[in-house]
Amino acid sequence: MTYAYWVILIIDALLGLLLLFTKRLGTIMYPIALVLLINLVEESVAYYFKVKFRNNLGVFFFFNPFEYACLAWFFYYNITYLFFQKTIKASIAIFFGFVICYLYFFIKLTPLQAKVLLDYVVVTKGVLLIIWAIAYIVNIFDQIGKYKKLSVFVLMVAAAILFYSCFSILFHLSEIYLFNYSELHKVPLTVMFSAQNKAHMYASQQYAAVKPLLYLTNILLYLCIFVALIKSVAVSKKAIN
Amino acid sequence: MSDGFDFWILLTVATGILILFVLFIVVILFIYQRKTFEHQQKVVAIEQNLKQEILKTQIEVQDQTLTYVSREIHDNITQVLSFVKLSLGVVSKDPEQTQAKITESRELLSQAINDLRDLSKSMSFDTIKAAGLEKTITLELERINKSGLVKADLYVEGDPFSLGEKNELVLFRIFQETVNNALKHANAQQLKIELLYSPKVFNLTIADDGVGFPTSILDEHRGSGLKNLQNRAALIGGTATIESSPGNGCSVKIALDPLLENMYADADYSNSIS
Repeated sequence: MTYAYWVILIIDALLGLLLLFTKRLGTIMYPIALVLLINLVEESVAYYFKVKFRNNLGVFFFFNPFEYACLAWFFYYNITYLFFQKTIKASIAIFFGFVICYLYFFIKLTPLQAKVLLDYVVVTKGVLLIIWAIAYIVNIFDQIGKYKKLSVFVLMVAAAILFYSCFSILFHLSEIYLFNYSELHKVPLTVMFSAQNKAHMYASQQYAAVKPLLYLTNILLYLCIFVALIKSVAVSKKAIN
Repeated sequence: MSDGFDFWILLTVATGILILFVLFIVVILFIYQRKTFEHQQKVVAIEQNLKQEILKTQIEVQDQTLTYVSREIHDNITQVLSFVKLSLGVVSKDPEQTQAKITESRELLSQAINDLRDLSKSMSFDTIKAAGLEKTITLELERINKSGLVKADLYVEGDPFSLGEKNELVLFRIFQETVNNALKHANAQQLKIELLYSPKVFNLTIADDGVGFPTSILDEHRGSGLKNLQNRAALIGGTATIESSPGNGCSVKIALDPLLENMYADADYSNSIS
């Protein structure tokens, strides 16, 4: 599944880059093309750090706000509620502010503490994205009276982000729980993160079960983005003709 | 064995998630389509209602014009022409006064011709269409001032622009009704009409110095005419504010957003999915 993830990510990122440079991408899809590029760079740098330094947590911590900013920017474009637009703007600033302030301390933390903090960052990102996705879905019904067209591919991407964020929260919360439990009860992490750890807790099984589903929803998200990118070009061509 | 079992569970859950995802989008699209359909039906109903109301307004304006024309013909022109007929009848019997009578008759005929010319300018839907709201109100006020029943002043702020034929017709009918109310029920001596044209708002204010009334009658059945004003204003996307108290006259203010109004008037049913 990891290979499938890499393949679809590379295809999406290259497609996004190509469309960005050839200026054939609709404005609404700019943030999505950017998030693909950021993801590709993030994953590549993280892989390099993992091989070279055996610790890539800092990379994820650094790239997370950029990733969030792009996805939030995507919702900012598509939500017309003034309150949500202001809140999204503020949330991007707060997210960046938090990560910049904590980056120095993050490097000094032990890998375990750093991982927990990173998990909290990802969970926060997930919660915010779920809120924006729900606001977007409510917003599309409100737009009916204003004669605004619904773009199915934007809806598809928003729904995929919603699904991915839900599994991301489930996964990272169980991870936080397992780390904390391991610390508190001095149980080795290898035991905690084993799917066979039935004796200890349900969280271990949840963690093991959600992991492939998280991959699946991530691949689903990239597939939806792929379709949306292709569709965006088709729509632009139609508009030109 | 256990791994195999886990694989099948995982595959089932993964398939379930994919189906759930597709279902999620399909359900949203289904609800969206249904809501769009409902909205379109509502808009069609509003359009039909608007058409009926415009037709009614047109008939009312026409009716008022005909009443005015018939009254003018009966009270004024017929009297003048009858007098001319009598004068000319005297000419044959009294040759000494021939020249004086002919001169008098010519003057009276000129007056009748002028009155008929004024009548031809009477308000109709075509006048509003051709001249616009501001000009039509000016003509109507000239006629009212000429009647001597009341002194009416018009103040225009901003550069007048068209609000659309139908909307101007409704606004003119509101103006006519309000002026009629002031003349019939309020015993007003003075009328003040204000037109405010700005890109964001259009205001038509009709204020009189009549006897006034408690605005509580709006909530009772007695104020049905005033309620009708508010309903008419709402029909074109505007609001009617009625302010009055006993002894302090009455002010009716119609406000509408010209941009919103254009959007409403030009609305097409383009809600669709791309």
